[in-house]
Amino acid sequence: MALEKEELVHDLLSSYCLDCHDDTIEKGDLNLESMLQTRPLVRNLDAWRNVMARVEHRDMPPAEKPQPSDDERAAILDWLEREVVHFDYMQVKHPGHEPIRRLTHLEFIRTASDLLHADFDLLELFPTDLSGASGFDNTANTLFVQPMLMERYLSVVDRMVDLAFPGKEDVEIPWDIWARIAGMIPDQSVNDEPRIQAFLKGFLTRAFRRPAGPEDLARYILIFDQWRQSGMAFDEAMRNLVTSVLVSPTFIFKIEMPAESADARRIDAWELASRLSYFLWATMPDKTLFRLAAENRLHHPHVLDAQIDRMLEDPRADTLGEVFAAQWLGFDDLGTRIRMDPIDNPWCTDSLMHAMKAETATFFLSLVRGNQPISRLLDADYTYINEEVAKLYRIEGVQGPHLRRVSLEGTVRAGLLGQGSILAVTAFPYRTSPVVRGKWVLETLLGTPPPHPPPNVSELDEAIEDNRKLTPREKLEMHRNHPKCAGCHEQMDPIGLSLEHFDWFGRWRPRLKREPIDATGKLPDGTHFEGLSGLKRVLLENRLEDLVRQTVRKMLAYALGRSLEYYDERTVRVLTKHLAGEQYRFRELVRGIVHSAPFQFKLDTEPHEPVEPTIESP
Amino acid sequence: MNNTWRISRRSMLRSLGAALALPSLDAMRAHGGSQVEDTLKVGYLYIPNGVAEGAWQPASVDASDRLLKLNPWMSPLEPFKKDILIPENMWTPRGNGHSAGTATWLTGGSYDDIRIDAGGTSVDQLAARKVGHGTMLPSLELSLEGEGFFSNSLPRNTLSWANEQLPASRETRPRMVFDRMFRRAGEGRVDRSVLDLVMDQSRSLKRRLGRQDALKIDEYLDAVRAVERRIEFAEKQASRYTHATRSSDLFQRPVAGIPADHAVYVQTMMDLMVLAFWSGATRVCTFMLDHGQSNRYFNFIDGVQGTWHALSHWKDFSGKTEDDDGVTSWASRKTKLDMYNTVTRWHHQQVAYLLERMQTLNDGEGSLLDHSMLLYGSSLADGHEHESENLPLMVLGQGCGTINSGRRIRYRKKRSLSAYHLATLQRLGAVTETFAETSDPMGELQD
Repeated sequence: MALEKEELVHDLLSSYCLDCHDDTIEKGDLNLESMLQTRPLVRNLDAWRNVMARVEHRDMPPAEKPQPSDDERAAILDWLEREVVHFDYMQVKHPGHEPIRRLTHLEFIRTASDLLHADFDLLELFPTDLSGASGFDNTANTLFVQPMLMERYLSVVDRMVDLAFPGKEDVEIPWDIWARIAGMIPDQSVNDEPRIQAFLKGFLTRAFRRPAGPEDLARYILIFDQWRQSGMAFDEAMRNLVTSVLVSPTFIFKIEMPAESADARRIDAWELASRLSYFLWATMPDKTLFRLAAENRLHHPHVLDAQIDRMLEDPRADTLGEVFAAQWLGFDDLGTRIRMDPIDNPWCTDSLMHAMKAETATFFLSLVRGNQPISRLLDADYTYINEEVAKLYRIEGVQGPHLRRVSLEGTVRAGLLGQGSILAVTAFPYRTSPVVRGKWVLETLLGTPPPHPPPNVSELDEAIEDNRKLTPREKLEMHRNHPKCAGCHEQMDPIGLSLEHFDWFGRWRPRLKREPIDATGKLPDGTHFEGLSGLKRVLLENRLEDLVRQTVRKMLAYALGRSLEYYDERTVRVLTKHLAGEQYRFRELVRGIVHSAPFQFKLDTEPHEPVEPTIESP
Repeated sequence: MNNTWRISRRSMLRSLGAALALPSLDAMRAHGGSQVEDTLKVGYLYIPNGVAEGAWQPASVDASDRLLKLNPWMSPLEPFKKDILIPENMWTPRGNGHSAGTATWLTGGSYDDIRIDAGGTSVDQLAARKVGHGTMLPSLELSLEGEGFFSNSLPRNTLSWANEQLPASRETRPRMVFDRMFRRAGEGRVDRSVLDLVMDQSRSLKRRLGRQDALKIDEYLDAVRAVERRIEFAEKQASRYTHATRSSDLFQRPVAGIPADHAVYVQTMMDLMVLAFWSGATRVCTFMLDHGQSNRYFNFIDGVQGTWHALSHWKDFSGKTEDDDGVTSWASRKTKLDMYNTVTRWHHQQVAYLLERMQTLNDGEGSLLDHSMLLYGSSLADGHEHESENLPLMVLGQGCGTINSGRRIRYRKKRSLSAYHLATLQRLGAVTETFAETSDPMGELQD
């Protein structure tokens, strides 16, 4: 029966759609032929959702092409509804595969700093890591190594070695300095083992984040001897060793060695230490983690929990706000996206934008470190600001450049949606856009993006042009009344309109062009609300689970360093449900991710067939 | 202006007189390829946001389609019209628009914005594989630091693909470009034995990894090999460059950072492109004159207001569409269209600067421009309509006598840009009968 239906839909799509959307033409970059062969269909979830919207709203096939009957449309939608919308993720058990990936430029600098006990400020020397659709720059499939980058590694590492081990003529670098970067105790060199061997054992283990194999050890000892025999000074040969290690693939890449078996396997303790440290710190494991890995104790749940708590308190965990939250919520773009004109906007300084980003990063961290519920993202009644931001917010009594916790009780602000960084990156320069803000809330914050706009919307722009005197709200209403646009704009616009009291840089404004602002909104289900406080309330009442699920998804993707796949949805759902019993607390989320199957298990081969991992998520 | 590095008019003349014969072509020609194969330089100049009708067409042609006069928006290019070929009715059948169009302009593939996959290796990288072994850098990829939305978007910033899934990196800082050409990697510290060591380690690592992961190590190995080749080359050429550096201020190192004046920035990068070709540092160069949906403000041009992308939507002049900044508005369609065209003309002006440089530099028998073929254009036609057909394109230079320039070619039936890419590769001696979807090279270049 189901199979029959599938064949029917297959035939319908072939006769109405494949003329344009097949392997050869791929009009609009849509290839239904290959999408139909890719199973389960949810592997192309977004594309299928788009197909469903187009079929449902009769945007496709185009008017001049043969049209399916109503029954045929219904049959297509019915089948897709079952295969895509109601796909049973719980039947999929699959931990995924974390491919090797190079460190991001930031991770590279932080790791080298920790390894050499230095503090390198050299990020500027790298070209910007570009990001693909996933949004995080630690995603494996966007981290390339091109010849130009290799050149950059060589010159950056050269600078690092010069900075960490400055050479003076006729003065030898004390051995203790070298011993320290190998994690050796100072007098270790007196035993039988040649000291260079002891150094390499320690240094390579730290640099490669796992014990160095005999082959690697032999390779480095051999070359060191060659250098020395050719007359190279001891310090120079040591510097060369450090250089070679820092440009080697085992340092530049995060590598997990495959086991022989084709089944899912538990990653070893060294791999776990690295996954943990790059997730929570964006750098290499420290001494404690290495010790626990060497003792093979890190897997014990109570040991792991204690480490999570310890690591979150460490300042290195600031990257959860400065990198993870910044890239998820998009506020790291503040500064590149907003064009500053120092003549027209003398108040819009670099230091202000820096403080605005720091505000949101610090706020996010306070939720994680303070084990607050995820819902606080929306309703926290405090934030972290300095004098410059306080001035922007018109909050009195905050002096000096350092951030400090300030209560928002009795103010117009609360949570993320009251913060300047978020309000600014969801506006155009000099102008707010209710659509952009609404879309940001739906897509970025709640993970429920509206479908793509239908083709041929430009006709509407022409009509709008004749109505230049309308207020933004009236224009949007006109747009919304159009049947093709209504579905999505009914969701997006009210959210954005309720934030219209905040201008394009997050400043409060009582009126817009002398007109009072109407910040009321109505959701498609009829719920009325007004302003940020109303929005906050309806979101928490109606969309809390979406917010939690999105937070889970984003943090899991960041933790794994890869885009989530359909087989990760099971973990997302299990975790979301688990958190409901824990008041949605952030630390429980971090723990849940670290204990989850995709974090602790892996398939060593590129996975496609569902397999059974041996543990359940919490 | 003064403290910025440019090729001064005077130094250009001096170097002409000095007959520096810097390019190492004579040496390379010895091993038997044809002169075109060994001499031709290929370049790609990309502009985003399309061009309105009228800013790319000749004003008049004669009976055999030779260019008599360009239209007023193209006036800066008028002095070079004998070096210009304008094909009309070409397109990229598979990928177009701001992101897919940019990413596939040189691959002839499609790009779906879900996977990072441009459908194939880009033509410049294929060209580099064919002729790059004889130059210090197989190819050079230049771009400008973005402004506004999408500045970090991968597809909008990527013309060159080493393979369908591996975007080539690109340089936006003038000094870094110069240093790659004229200073050794690692400023001399990198010992060849260090590279040998990491290659050795990589190969043994690779054997223990799965197929997918091993590919990543291959990527790394390729990168190390490229650096190795470059060092080798630099060692061979060292004395030559030292000599050249002393004899002309053409080789002064640019100041660090990005010039604040946009024209200076563009021209400095063009100087570097010229320098790269002329010194023989490379024979393949791409230059993005902004990312694929540039939101750069061009208010610095007299009479222009707004971002390039906003201006390209010239039929909406209210200043209130989602593409606008909410402050800039225009009196009429006509004024906005004029500004859009003015921005196009500004870019023609920069390209004219480049052509003048290339025309005045000697490259053996003939000028650098005589020995080059540069594709200049966009992946959109009219920016407002997001038109993907009849793309604005020009072929600049004589291509070592393989291009019958000074003409317009009017295709009755749409012709794929892949045909141009295929024709380019064949000129460089690549043994290939196809590029992307086509096996029909653009023979009309010569007709």
